[in-house]
Amino acid sequence: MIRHTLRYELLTLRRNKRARIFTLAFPVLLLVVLSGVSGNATTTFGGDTVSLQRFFLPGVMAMSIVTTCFAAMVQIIVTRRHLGIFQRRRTTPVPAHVLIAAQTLGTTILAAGAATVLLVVGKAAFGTGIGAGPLAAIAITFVLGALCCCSIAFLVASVVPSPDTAQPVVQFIMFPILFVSGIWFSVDGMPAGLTAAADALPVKHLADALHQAAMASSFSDAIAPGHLAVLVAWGIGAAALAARRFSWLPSTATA
Amino acid sequence: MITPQLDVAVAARSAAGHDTDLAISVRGLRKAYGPQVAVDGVDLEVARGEIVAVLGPNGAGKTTTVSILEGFLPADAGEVRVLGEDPAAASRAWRERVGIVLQSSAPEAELTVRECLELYAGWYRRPRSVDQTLALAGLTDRADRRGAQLSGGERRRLDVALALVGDPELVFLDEPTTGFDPAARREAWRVVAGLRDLGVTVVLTTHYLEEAERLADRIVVLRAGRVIAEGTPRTLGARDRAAAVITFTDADGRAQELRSSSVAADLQRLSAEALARGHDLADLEVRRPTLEDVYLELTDDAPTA
Repeated sequence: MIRHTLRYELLTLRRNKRARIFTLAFPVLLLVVLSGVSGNATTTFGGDTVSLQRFFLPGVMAMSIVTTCFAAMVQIIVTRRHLGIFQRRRTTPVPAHVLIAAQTLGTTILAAGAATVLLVVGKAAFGTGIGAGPLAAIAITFVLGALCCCSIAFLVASVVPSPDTAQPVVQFIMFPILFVSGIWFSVDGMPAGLTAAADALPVKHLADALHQAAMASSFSDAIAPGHLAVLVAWGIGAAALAARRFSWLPSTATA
Repeated sequence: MITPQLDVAVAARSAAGHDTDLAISVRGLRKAYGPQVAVDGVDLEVARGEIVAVLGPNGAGKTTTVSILEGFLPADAGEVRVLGEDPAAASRAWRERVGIVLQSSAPEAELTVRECLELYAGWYRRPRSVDQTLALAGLTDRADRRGAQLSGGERRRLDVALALVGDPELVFLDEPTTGFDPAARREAWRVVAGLRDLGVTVVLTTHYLEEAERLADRIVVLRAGRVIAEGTPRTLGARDRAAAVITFTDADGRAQELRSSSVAADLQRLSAEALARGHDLADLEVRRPTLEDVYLELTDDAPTA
């Protein structure tokens, strides 16, 4: 039943112009622009000097995961709830976990498409090739990061009352966090307070784990269990809270 | 003459029948939102195969009552059985047997009508075929249209189709034609009338009298969270026994209105007088109170609870 629902979820996402532009085209454009203007310049990551082109690829990938699995996901959940689409689905025998799983998987597959395109463009245009071992580490990090973001999306969606408020709430949460998480520029020299805040949140751990993987040469150097543990903890915590708060009914249904 | 065996069979059926012949049985249903009482002691019984319209002004408690029967809202008090189960603890098996058209729900914008029905059909163990459902809802020639491209009437028919694709025994329709133009309303009525032929039990909320009169076997009128009247469209509010109204213009050109409980005798007297004065009674009219007259009288001064 999850596979049946997922099929139509993917069909929906594929036909959604917004999803195509924001989750596929936008990250690729950003990678091309950032890497294109950076030329042979370098930055630091964890004290090491790296080329900006190699720095941007995992950073943009982390951003793409957050925009797809968090920002777009919140918008879709809140809109479907508001329009009564969720409640109508719940009039059928379909269990809640099937709907949640299908939507999470569908979005994760969409984000995986974006990540794959980023990897291909990075190698083809800027020569940022990545070995098999680090690639496996990126894949693991990607899956945990995507699931973590989806889980947080359900939690945030459970407190956002309407689609009109979803957009500003999401931007307000997402952009400051993206800024302090080392996605567009190195945060090695960031003030201690901001670093502490970023360390408490999941996005920096996602970005750091992807950076570490993209710059390593073997799987054991690439995988970052500490960062992944933070992603898993956030994912489980958000899911547990969402399970208590989330409602399928539009907020007007009880009026 | 009833044979003894048949007698026994009838007795047995009516003894067991109390539960099995009722699709819905509600006693003393109450629901409040904070200090505001939305449903205040509703009793309701719906037989299998019956089409019942729940009528009432806005705020009468129609949607709250139906939401409880649909299992989307817990009751504060009262006994609620829908197809033999408490809807608040609705099982998957129960959801297989109930179809619901919510008051408002948008189509899945990116899916075609057919795809949407396929998606929903896949959630049921024994769905009705998609083609048959399309035909039932009059959507066959719209099957390949995306949800976002459907007109208001077509969206509503898609809602009805989605409620029928599981082949339900009981269907709830919450204000199925609100905001429709007359042509779309007639089209929707044709669909609901089709449910009668399938033997489906239907509970319909509406604030259109004509809709209730056209579709329902029985009408239940709610006001301020209580059932204030109940009957067939012909007998509601003792409409069938109410005095007829005779109107005409008399020989002096004055409009007259008589309440009459023996129409034939009064007409004979009237026409005798008119003939005697050489007057024609050209605009003579005899009418029963309409359902609307009865309804407005029943719901008069309704506090909007």
